Amino acid sequence: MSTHTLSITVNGHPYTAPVSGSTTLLEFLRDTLRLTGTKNGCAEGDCGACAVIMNGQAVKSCLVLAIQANGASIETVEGLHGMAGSLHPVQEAFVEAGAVQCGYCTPGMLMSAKALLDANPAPTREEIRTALAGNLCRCTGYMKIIAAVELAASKLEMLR
Amino acid sequence: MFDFELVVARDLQHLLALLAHDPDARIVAGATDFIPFVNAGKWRPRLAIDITGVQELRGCWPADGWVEIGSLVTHSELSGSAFLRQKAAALAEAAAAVADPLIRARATIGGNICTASPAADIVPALFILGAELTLLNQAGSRRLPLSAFLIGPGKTALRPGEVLAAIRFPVPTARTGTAFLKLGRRQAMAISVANAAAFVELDDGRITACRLALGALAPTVVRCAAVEAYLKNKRWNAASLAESAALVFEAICPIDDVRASASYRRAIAPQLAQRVLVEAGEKIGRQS
Repeated sequence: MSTHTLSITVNGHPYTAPVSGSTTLLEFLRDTLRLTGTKNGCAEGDCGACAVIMNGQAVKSCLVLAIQANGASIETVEGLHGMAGSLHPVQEAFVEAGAVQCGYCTPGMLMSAKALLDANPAPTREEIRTALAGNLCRCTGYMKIIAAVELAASKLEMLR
Repeated sequence: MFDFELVVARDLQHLLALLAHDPDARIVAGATDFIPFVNAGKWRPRLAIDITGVQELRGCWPADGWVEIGSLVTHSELSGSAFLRQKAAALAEAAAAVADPLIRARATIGGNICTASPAADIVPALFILGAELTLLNQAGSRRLPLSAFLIGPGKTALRPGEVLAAIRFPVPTARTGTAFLKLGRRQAMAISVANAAAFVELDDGRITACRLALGALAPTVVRCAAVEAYLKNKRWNAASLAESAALVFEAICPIDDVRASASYRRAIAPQLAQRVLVEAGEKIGRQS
């Protein structure tokens, strides 16, 4: 088994740790760093529960080998926060819009939504649907999730 | 996941040396096929080589009427390229139709080709653009038309020790339009039931060149030679397109699978062909 040394920044904290070549970024985040907010849904790239932001881009962490994230900056749901310990505006919007049912898809939805809003602060409804196309919600709460991303955009607009 | 040795290639020279030493190593790029295939036991590599750090395989270079695309260029980069949107819309549209934005950010053009799925979305677009591949090994390089590279489902002409380095095609002229269409079970995260790409060149309302490629309707993507020959020198109008579309059956041999039946595929194939030809024609003049 090949062992590699992974240097990675997660939610602003630098880490250096040994990983095997076959470890996925998802396994590294959950099993090594114990950041279990990122969920393992299907482990084959279909569901988006494992979405994290890698160098500014939302990716499915079950489809990234950990060593491929060497040198990368990763944001996970644990890194989301607002001012003075409050929720991030995207999280607040999900709560207020009732965009959470069982909650398993929520960390991935939040990260896909944040990556979208970081790149495009005023997305159209169609752009929101496209950005969330890789995130499945089995409680079928899509309309409220889309409404939450629209609400988050307006909250972030007011903060600028 | 099934355990394998992984080596990270630092640059092209290192990659070619690694491949010369272990010609049967499995190359990993975007890993969006690699990880699910290994998890499912479809691929059981002893050694994998990660090439995502090989900078020489990134980038898109227009030169002398051709454009050359590095094999590590992602689907997001293809669909977001203003140059490709304008000059080779079929390729940008096909890249945008793959999976979802999170996967498109990782999945590469080289991976989509080398996985050799009969339903690969960007392959029909590259067929009608006349794409050629640059294949490298430590001894040198060779060029191969994409159509000669894809042999069957999951099978390519890649030799042990070789890597797909770049894809190139002639930049279409202003008298040309290209388009791509996909029929899937849903808009995102759907493997194509069928897909199609077309290239149409007109001169004063007459078709001077035409290429049509269909995917997921045969063991590999196929060019429809009978349609192309029929349309050559015809007037560009609804009647000639409708007549030509019936000739797709000379090229396709669809099968039943989990996504659709062979009879359904036979029913939609001429419709898809006709629509993509119309769209390609409508893009002429808007594309350069």
